[in-house]
Amino acid sequence: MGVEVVIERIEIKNRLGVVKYITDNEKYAHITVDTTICEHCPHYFCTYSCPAQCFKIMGGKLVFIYEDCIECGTCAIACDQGAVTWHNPRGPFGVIYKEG
Amino acid sequence: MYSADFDVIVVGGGPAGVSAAIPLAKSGMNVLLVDRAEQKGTKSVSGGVLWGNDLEKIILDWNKEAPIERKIIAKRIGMLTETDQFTMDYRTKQWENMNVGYSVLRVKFDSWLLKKAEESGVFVINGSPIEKLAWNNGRVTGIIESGEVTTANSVIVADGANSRIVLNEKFGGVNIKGKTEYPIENMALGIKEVYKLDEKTINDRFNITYPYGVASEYLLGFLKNGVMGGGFLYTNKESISLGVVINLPSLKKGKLYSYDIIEDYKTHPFIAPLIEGGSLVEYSAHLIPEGGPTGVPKLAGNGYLVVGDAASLCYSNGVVIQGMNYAIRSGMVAAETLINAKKNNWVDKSFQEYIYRLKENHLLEDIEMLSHVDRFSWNERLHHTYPYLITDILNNFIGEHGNPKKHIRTIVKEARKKQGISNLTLMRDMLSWGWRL
Repeated sequence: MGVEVVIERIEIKNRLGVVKYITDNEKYAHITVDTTICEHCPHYFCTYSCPAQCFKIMGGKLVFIYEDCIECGTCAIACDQGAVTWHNPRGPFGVIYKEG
Repeated sequence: MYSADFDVIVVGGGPAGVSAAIPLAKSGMNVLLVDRAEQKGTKSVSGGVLWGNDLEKIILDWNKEAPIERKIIAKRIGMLTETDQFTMDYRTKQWENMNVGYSVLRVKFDSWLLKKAEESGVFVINGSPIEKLAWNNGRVTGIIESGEVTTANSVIVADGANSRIVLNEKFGGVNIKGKTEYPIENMALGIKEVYKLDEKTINDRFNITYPYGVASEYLLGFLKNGVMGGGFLYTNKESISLGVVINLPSLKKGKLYSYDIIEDYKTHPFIAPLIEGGSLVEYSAHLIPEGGPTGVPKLAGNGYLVVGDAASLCYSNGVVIQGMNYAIRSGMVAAETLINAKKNNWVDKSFQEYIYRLKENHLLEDIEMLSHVDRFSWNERLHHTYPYLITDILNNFIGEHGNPKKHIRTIVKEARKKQGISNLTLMRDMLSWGWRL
């Protein structure tokens, strides 16, 4: 006799909830997305590839938030339309990993 | 020759940068290391196994002092379908007395490395993201931060897989719609979750005793829409690093959400019991350079060298994934190169010696091999057909299903037909496994 172990999936927003950040002012956002370019995007690969769900389609439009970014760099290479500009966050800002 | 602020500036305080900085400082050079994390190590991520013992050449008895999690004495390589698992479990007493690999958590580990660098005389500055180099007459003369130049006779670029310097200086990457970027074919996406569990539970579940640990890697045959990915599980002292490595071109075609794939893996019936009861303490992600020789940027030029992940010096064939050891080795080779360059009064051609020294140390050979293994590790059949073929064969060969016994040849033939694999394809794949791996 055994008991099947069921492990719950954790919603991405709850997983991001354990991550620590110091969020910079929006005018210094380390990633900028020219969403006018996104209107013509044939694939929206950013929405599938970003592991932190920073890119979402809402009301038929691409919406980007920089605050949850965990700084992997995937969006910059996923976007082949020239819409994403990626920089490192300024000095103390961005994700602060505890484990790594 | 102008008078520079430093002999060497190292950009990036991971294993590559530190492994370059320590020998340089010990040789008497004036070394500045700048890292983007304000608190040491807090931007560093990796899957979690440091293979090899290369650090011994830089820090004597490093493994007695470093914050390592567990010594790896067993490796499990397998494939998972929705319902089946096939695993090779290799374990040896020999590894208990060898330095084959260690699981590490990079925040602690890198912060220790940086402290060792400071003890060796490296001047470390934290919280400084550097994205541009300073140039004069076709030669790198330092780094630029907020428009200000800090000068050096040489710069080591060690800012990791997502190197901004390599792109901004056009040492690597390709032009996509006016922007220099890494092609998705040259990078895999790693996503990791760390689960806290007590030491004894980990020991029991993985059949090991601390300080020993296990590294497990699986092909995720159950992923839908042709998406290719691998899953890993590394035992730490009191946590488990669980993660996936995703092939980006197949993700683009298959349209799965990357953050769902890691949950698919975690909740697999044979993985879930291993982390049951654990609490999630971290969620992280990192790009893994794996373009093989095509991903390698310009490694050396007048006044600069590129090391570690920034140089795409990373080895992954689907079964073996190694990055930190190459980072350390390339850092050491960069240090040797610059020690000699200083003796030659920093003449331009002395920087090119780095390439020869990398070859001498077999680093480029290993990367060169990846042009062959690529076909193997991100092979659609390997990920989505063979896990089913092999588990089907085993099910019929090992199990008792109340039917008349069949010869193994018949079982293989039937399984092969079910998966639509011709004899010729099977033979070709087997050969390419054998020869290319």
